Amino acid sequence: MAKPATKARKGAKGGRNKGGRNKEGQKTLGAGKRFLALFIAIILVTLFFDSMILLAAGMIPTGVAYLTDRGPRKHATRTVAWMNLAGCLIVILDLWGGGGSLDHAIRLLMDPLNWVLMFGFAGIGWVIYFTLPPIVSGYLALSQEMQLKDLAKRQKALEKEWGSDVRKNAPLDRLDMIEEEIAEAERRAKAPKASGGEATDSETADSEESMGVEAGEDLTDTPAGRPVAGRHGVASGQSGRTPAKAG
Amino acid sequence: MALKVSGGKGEEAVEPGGPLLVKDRFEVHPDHPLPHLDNPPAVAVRTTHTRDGSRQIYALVCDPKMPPRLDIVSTVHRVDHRNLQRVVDWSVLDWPQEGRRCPVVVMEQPQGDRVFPQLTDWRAPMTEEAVTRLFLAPVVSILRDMHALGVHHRNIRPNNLYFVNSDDREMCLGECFTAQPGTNQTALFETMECGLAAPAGRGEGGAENDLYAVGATAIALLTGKVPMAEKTDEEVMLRRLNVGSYAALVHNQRISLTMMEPLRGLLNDDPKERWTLEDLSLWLNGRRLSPKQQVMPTKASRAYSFAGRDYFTARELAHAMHRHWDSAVMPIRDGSLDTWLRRGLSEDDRVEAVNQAKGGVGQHDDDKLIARVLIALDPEGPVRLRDFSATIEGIGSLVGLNVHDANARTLFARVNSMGLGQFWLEQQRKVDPNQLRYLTRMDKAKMVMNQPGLGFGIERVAYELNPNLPCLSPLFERDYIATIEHLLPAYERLAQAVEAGRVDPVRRLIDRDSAAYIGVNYKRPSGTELRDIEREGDDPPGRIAQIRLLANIQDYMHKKTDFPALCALAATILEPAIERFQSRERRARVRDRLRKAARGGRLSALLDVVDDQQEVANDQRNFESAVRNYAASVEETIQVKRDIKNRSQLAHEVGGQLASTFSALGATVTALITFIVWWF
Repeated sequence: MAKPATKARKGAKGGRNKGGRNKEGQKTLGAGKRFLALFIAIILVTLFFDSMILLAAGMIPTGVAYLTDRGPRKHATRTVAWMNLAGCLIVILDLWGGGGSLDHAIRLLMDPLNWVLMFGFAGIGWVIYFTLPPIVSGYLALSQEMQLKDLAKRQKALEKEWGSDVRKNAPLDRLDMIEEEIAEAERRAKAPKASGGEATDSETADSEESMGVEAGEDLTDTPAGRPVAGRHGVASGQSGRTPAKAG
Repeated sequence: MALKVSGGKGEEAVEPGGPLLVKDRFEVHPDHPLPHLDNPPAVAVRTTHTRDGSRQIYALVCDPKMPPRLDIVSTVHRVDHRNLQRVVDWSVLDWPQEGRRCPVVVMEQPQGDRVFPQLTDWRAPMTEEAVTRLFLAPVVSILRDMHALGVHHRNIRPNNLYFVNSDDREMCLGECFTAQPGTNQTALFETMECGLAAPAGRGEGGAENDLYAVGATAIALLTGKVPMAEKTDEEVMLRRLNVGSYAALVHNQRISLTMMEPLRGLLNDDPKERWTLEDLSLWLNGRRLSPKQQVMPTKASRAYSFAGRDYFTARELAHAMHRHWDSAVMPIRDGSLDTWLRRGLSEDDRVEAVNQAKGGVGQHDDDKLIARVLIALDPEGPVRLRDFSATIEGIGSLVGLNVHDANARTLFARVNSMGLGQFWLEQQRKVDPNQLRYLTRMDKAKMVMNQPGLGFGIERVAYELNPNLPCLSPLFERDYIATIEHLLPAYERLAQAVEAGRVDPVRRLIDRDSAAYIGVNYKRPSGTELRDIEREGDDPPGRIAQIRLLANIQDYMHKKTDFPALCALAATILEPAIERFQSRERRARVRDRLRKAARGGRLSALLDVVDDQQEVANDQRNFESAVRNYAASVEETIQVKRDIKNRSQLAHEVGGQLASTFSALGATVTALITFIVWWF
């Protein structure tokens, strides 16, 4: 059951290329690649000057996205860039259909509909970018909840069969530390919200939903089933307490 | 302890009840006492044979606190003599008046009366010829048979003689089982050495004790009254010490020259001069010698004043010093005793012995000094230390009968540690091999006593030195365990009582007393189990060891007897041992099997269930695996919770990836459609 999250972690860590990283950890191109890119750009500008003018103007949203995107892997930029490029392609095809000249390119740029088209597609890119993470977060919450429930059931079954002695080698102190960290993070997240802060709704909703267990089975005495501090325990209705160390 | 049935003297009303069956052969009727046959502390009750109602028998119910000599019953049963009251059988039965189990000896009932109903009673003097024919001749024959079998009667006295028939033409000697040797005798019928000792410390004794009692009894028969019967033992001993036993007993009575010879021989205070059975036998066959003059101990030329009285002999003084223990140290320390011994008594040997006694004693060890000096003054006398006074053979029985008396235990330990037995032996002019044997046993006892483990200590010593001592464990307060074969049935009765709520629940089956009893009387190895019980206590291995010890006894001695109540109790005691199993399911299974095994009545079956090493190992292995699984699941939990903590980041990362992917797909689709539209 840990697969989606693991995959996600791998995704976060993976994807390294041969380029270096700057001080902020962001990917940077190597000197050879930079030179190659510059070379291609010069050739393209030389060969398709009118198209490049159009493209340069139409891809402004992507440039803005690049400047505002603080993520190490520039997902926002990529998302906006792809859609922005699709929008620009429509206008460029229109340019190529008209014979292709600098005048035609300027005429096209003078048409507001073309701007709407190019920027609109960039906007769709932004919409995609802002819509997917909450959906993923919701999926992760559901998945983690299921995992915890399964783990709690396994732990409950072991405790039923072997008693509390079965906990003797379990790293419960580390679990406590993690739970305290979660509680602390939630306290920090709630504080600005209470004072009109900007905590995202999605985070709060995530944490409240993540550890629910079936009402019929009391799993709250298991390490996996006990409510995390600062959260509303779904099964037990407890809230905001530091979990006692089991065993 | 005195039994409640007192022989119909009216002290206690006896509730009517049905007869009690003994060994399926005898019916004992507790509500029909036979007071004229009582032999205190044993009481006589009417008894009938289940198949032969014409047999004249009765039962003597013994005091369980004064263990009877059950070990000699079968031996004496072999002495078939019409002038010896015949023992039929013995057993242990529930004695309703006492509310506990008591040993009982079934005897044949004499048809005539007692010769002397009480020692203080008078009767018509018997002629010399009658005494010889009715008493001396048969007694010699009986004693010869008994002594040949290695048994001594030790209970000969006028009120233990019966007329065989109502015509008073024949006498028979009464029983000798209902108490330890010499404990029922007054000092009058004990030799000087035993008379000076406490009744419980008189020891097994020998032929000389029986012969002395024969002499004293003969005087009573000849004179028609027991001499000094109204006096206390202390007064009797003082008189005997002063004038000698013969003179004290005969006093002013007229004894013919013919009878004087055997009586002086039998009542001689010098053990070496005392008549033997052979001498008496020769006399009965007509040998006549001039009566031996009693050799009196050396009398001092001047008296020694001690505790307000004058003493002329060393033995008298030793007796007095024992009676006034705390005053005895002064004359020993200040040298006045030495002066009197040298100048008054003029016995160089005695002076030497006293000096030897003083040697090797610490400056402040007064008790040891007094005890050694008393031995030096009276080498044939008992070993004395404050309230402790026993012959060398009687030390064991004294400690056996007082094993739960803290003072007696302390004194016994001190007698041992002071080496008084060894010193006593050194002072003897002639050493009896029996005394050497007893001393060796005492040395062994010393080692056993100093061992602190379960099954050792003073309890073990008591059982080692007293083969007749029943198990004195508080568990069996209301039972009587005469032999090791009685042990498990007693446990069964105890378990039944616990089950019925008549006694408090039992937490341990083996305590110090029962462990020592088993250690002495169970002849197969039991050391491992006792060590485990000692080491593990109430922990499961200790509990299992308790049951294993009892299971061994059952397998060895009661192969065909089941003890379901004991097994049920054992199953309760073993309950914590089930907790050794970690698995709840396995525990439930073992508990169920244990319950079923308990119904079978075999203790070993319980152990097969609880102490199955394979099962324990499997459980342990599975438990360790479960612990590993649990730890792994908590590790997973930690990982999941770490993911929860980082969920926002994860969601953004994965969402970003997905968004760029969807965006790329969307762009590609858009581009394709645009191309197609543009192309056509």
